[in-house]
Amino acid sequence: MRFFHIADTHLGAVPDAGFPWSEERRTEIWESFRGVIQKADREEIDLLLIAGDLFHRQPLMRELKELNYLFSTLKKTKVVFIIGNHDYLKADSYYSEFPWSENVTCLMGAECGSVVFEDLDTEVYGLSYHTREITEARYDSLKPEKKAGFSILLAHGGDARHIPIDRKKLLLSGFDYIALGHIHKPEIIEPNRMAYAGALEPIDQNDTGVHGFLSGEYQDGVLKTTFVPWAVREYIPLALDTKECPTNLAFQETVRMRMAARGMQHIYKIVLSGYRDPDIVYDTEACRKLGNIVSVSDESVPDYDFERLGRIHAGDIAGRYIEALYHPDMSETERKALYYGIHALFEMRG
Amino acid sequence: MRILELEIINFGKFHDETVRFHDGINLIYGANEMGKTTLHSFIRGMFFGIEKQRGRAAKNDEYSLREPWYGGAFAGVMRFESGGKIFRLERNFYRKDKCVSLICETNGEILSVEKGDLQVLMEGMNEDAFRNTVFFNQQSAATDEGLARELRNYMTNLQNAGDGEMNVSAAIKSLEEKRRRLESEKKRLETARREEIENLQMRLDYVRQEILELSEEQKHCEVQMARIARERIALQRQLDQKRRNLEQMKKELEIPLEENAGKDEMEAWRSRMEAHRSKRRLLWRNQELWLLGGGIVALLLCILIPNIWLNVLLLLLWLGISAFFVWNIYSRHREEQERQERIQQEMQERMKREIQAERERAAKREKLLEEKYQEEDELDRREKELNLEFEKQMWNQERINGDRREKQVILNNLEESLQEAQSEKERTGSVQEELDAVHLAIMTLNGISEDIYKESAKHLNQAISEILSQITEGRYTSVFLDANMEVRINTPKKLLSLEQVSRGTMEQIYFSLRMAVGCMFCQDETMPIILDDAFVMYDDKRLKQTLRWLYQSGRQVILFTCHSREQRIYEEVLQEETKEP
Repeated sequence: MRFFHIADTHLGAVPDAGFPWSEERRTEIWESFRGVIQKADREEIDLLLIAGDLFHRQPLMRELKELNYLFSTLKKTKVVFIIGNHDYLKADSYYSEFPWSENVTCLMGAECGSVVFEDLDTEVYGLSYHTREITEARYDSLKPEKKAGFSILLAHGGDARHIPIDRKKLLLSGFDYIALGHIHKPEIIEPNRMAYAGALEPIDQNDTGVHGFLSGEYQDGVLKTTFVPWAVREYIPLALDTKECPTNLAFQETVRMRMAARGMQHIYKIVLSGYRDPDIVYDTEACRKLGNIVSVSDESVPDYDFERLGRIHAGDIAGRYIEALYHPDMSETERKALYYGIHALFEMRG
Repeated sequence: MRILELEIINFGKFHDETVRFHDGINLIYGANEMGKTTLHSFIRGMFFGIEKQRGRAAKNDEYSLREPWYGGAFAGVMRFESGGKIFRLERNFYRKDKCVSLICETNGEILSVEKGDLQVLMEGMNEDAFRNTVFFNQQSAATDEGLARELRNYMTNLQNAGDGEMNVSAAIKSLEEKRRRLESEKKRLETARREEIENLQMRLDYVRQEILELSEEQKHCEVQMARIARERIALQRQLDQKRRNLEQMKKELEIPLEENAGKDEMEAWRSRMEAHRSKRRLLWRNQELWLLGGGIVALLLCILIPNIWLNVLLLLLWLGISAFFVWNIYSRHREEQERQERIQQEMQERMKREIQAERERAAKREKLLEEKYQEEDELDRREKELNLEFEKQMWNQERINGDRREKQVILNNLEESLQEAQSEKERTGSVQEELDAVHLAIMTLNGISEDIYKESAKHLNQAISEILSQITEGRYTSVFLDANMEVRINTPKKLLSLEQVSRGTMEQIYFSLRMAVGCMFCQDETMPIILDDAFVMYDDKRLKQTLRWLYQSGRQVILFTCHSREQRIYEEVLQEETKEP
């Protein structure tokens, strides 16, 4: 029995509103999902498990129709999905009466239900969100009824407001595989037993790193799962040190080169840190134009030794300025203020 | 610092003159036009050079004024002591050949005036500071107003010049500039966010409007459906009525058409005719019989009566009678036939007329029925129409409900997006942080600057007050600069402004201020005090006190005067001061 475990596809999401690539991402998110369906069909995968948050918001009828069409193209694969917190089953949701293709099972109940596939000797358990938030730990006490040889729990949540999960308890619950969704970062909690597939495509700039899904094979009583990188793009935090870019132009060039090396399709978050020559100003606005850059933050600090400066300038304005603001546990604002003030004083000297 | 010797090579009217100074007070007395001011100017020129001004200003500028009267090198030498070392400063004032050299005579070190070595020896004092403190000239007290203004300017400048190198206001200005840039960046980001929110709100409004329209449409649809239902009922009723009527009418119409109208009459007439005819026939037969019988009788008679003539007569008679009978029958028969024909014709005509009338009536009825049928058809059609319309409205309602539901989902999704966009602060967060930092920097700098100013003002006020108190023998013991840089004089009775005191007192305040500021400037090295007839407005008492203060300060003083008064009073001071211990 082979299965794909995907989660948090967030169809319909439009990430990075206001950025040039935003609309393109909307299409990519659908395309990427379609790609998985096609792959499942091509490889004649038995089960496609979707651990919630198929849609970013409440799905429209036409969106469900599109989705169902995609599902209906699967010749062999059966689909089981649950509804997560993002597209939760509202009272008048289109989910509630949608006529799914016969190979599709939606575990819509608010209480845990299951579906048995006798030909696969597999039972899949799961529940759906009927409210935006569920603070009750509904998974921790679940036990499989063992109606089939292989039991899977399809679960969505894992934080305080979305069904908190006690990982240890859940691991001991007796399910052969626990397919988790909700947390966008892929995470293998227990190899071949319990994992977050992570969002299929990164949905916002906090979803850094590789994204994809899990592919599993259960044979002769042994389950083996592997992570399949799938996302079209990645959000990549690019940490630069002032040492590698001593001037503004060097900074721009380094960013350009580093992006070219990783791939220009990716979306970058640039963080510059370290000590810099107090006279150097990095042009973060110009940097934004070099590629798909969602944020540039210049956290570099001018290379002032305040204790020494304080001694040298004891009594004069700079000294008194340092004295007024400098203390070992300065807030970020105070630290910056200190740099700006000293910089301005020295800059305007003489 | 002490000025030891001036060597004037050529300067104004002077040529090859040497003037030496000692420690303490040097009184240089001379009548007018002796060159005291020239000498005074020479000292300043040696320290700072004399720039030739450009254009019209050059006509009467210092440079032109001090050019050698009798030609020769426009130059001079000054020897001074500073920090225990003796220096030799040589300067060529000639504008085309300007040069200056500074040599330490004590150790032979060659210093550079351009690089600021001289300024270092003068404790960083620049020309402005010099002119405003230790260097008194006659013009500085030109007008009362000018003096006050100069004083005010002086203090204002002091605030910024207080720390020599560091320029607080320029730093604050640069930070303000940074703040402006950040503000505009923040505004840009906020605008972008606002635009996004506005866009969402617009879409929301649009969808809400659509929903509203759909509700309206639905209401309309419901009204229509109610109307159709009502109409349908009415129509049904009407139709039922019509159908009933029609049924009745049909029944009525089923009575056969009177095609046979007049037939009975005709029949009656016919039988009458028949009877009549048979009667006639009977009659007719009788006649025939009569004819036949007569013939037989005639024949028998003929046989019995063998008279031929009689026979012939008899036969003729019979023939005659027979002919009569035949004619009679015939004519009667014709008559009868004619009458019958006439009657028949009449009858037929009557029948025809009746049939016609009957037909017309039938046609009329047919038409009426037709109309009724048509009416019924019309109603049927109308009913069908209504049904169709109703169905349409049903579909419409279904569509509206579907649309509404979808729009509602879109609306909720948009509301969620809007909430997210509204709660999102991240985008301007980093800029806000920078702004906060810059703001804090500006605040701190302003605070420090104010503190420094207050402190220096306090010290200054104290120093001025001390000096003034001594000069005025305790008449004025408290002078201070208020927030507007106005000099205020505290007297036991009231607070005076600078304009309210006498010219002399004002100059004494000015003197005190200069001395106090000079002290503040040069904390380690004291500059010599150079005065060109600065005490003209002083009375003897205050002059004495001033000279006493100068004497007690231990500083080198070079005092040019054209009055013997200073000499006299100074000697008094000297006597009193040396006697005292």
